[in-house]
Amino acid sequence: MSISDDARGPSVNVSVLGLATHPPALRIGHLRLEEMVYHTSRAALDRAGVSRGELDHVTLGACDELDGRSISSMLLSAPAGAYLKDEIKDHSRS
Amino acid sequence: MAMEANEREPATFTETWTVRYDYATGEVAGAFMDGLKRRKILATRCSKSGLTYLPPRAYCERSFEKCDGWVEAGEEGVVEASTIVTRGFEGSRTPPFAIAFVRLDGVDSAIVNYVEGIDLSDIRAAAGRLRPGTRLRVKFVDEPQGRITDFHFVPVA
Repeated sequence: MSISDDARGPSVNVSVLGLATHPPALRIGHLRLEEMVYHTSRAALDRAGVSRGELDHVTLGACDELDGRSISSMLLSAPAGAYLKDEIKDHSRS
Repeated sequence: MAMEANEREPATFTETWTVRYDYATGEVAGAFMDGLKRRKILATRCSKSGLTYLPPRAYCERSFEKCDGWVEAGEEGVVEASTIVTRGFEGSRTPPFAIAFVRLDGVDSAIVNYVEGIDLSDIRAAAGRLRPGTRLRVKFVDEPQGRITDFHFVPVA
């Protein structure tokens, strides 16, 4: 990632090394939320060719009401690969 | 004289939200619940990190691999943290009641459950009997139904 200034102000260049998403569904009955997060995070890391140990930071999107549990980000940080990592929750979802 | 807006009593109204969630038991909790019916407390194990997780997890937070084995936890363990609840809340047991995170023998993480068999009439004295490091024993109910309340902890005799 690089940050540069131009006439429109500072801009950030971001390189996407790998991407994974879990297909949306009205009801997912075979996985817990944490398991969905783990499988999706692991798939993204595998596609990027990056191990969990190489992560510097993890940004979570979590919302207690939607996720159905209080302090949801606390439960989701580990399956997102953030155990003992620098981690932040995106509050725009809560 | 007209009352200024900021002199009015604050107006409030009451709403009640009822939200229902259906939680999937997922990849490992079903086997854990089945084990409880057989009076067994099952933990998952990651062969790469060597760690065991109780409550069981589908993945290892250290190696980031899927847990690939099951182990049966011991019937005793040590208190890692505990508290005595003295104020009730919706859905809770009638206070006072004690809960503790106990790391059972043979596993690497602690599971929380109620502690029974402790005199709670003196809260401070009871808390002293649930200090970290205290050994507790698992006791199953007479007819386990595959629920976390199938067992609780009691002092080691």
